[in-house]
Amino acid sequence: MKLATTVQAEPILVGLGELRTATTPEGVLISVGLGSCVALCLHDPWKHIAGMAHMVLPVSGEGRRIGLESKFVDRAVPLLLAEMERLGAGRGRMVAKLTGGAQMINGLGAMGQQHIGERNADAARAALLDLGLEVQSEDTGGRSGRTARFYAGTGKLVISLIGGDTYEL
Amino acid sequence: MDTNELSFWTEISGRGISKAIENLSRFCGREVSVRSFGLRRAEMSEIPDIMGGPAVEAVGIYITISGPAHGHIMLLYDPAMAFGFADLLLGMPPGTTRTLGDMERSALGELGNIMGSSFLNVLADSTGLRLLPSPPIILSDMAGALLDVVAADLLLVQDHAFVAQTAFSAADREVSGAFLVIPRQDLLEVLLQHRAAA
Repeated sequence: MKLATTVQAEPILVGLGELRTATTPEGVLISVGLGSCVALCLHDPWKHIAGMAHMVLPVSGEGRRIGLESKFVDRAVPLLLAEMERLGAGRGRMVAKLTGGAQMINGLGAMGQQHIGERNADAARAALLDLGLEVQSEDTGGRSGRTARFYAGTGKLVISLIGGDTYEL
Repeated sequence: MDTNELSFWTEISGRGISKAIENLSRFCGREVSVRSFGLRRAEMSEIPDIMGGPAVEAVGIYITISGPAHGHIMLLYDPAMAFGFADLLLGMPPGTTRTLGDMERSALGELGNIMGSSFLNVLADSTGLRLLPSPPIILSDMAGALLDVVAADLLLVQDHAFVAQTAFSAADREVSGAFLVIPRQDLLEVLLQHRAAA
């Protein structure tokens, strides 16, 4: 008899401005130390396909140069969805979760960028709506950094804070 | 940036950091020395690795540079080092500070003021440019989350940064930390244009 075992895969690190996918039930995607950045997590529960985008800025049009497209929410969200659909995920089954978007400093941010975390989260919700999707659950805002682990097998999003507090969406 | 430009930025950053450490020694009333200084081009995503990775807990003293061009200064410590620095600055025995209250934050802010203004004064003397430091902000969280503050500004216009990184320490206690100077591209360009002005 063959025993079924679950092997925890090495987490796939999703760095600043990157997007990544996991296509096996053992796959884990991780964004570490999210401050004002947001991580959008998409999951197809039938196919066990998960995707995560670690996004830094809300709108691509505000910059003189674009560079890495997926650092912008308005670019990364459609790119992530397209990549997941290419891998066989179905848009109609997709579950979306959102985290990050903290306000790390009071009032005006660096060089006068106001409430960048909140704007990132707003932009992610808006970009999803444009694609016919809604955020099912989210943990955004506040003043603390977060680490987000997203499990392709279950669609569980586990969030950890400094000091050991951990919870899941 | 060509080799000449890089050597100019390395030289001016080195002098700025030396001056900042010299003024810090005077302020503390004891010798603080530079243990290492390095300058490198880094992708923004690599910068949290300076502190051992984006998940590592850190205390940051953050200052923006404004005026004719822009940039960021971030002094980063692990929390035990930040507490040690607060003890040093407040004239307390090592091990006294265990959390960052108003007094300790204020002392660390003063450290940021000394380091930031000393560094920018050297840049001003070398170029004639009047670069202004913001009041320091004290941050405490994961290193990656602290550096998001810088990334959100820089990644608007560039994907990399030239990072001047310094470790320093006082003779009688462990107070090493990283002094990061991260210019926007416009700051580098303006400094290079004005390097003959001094």
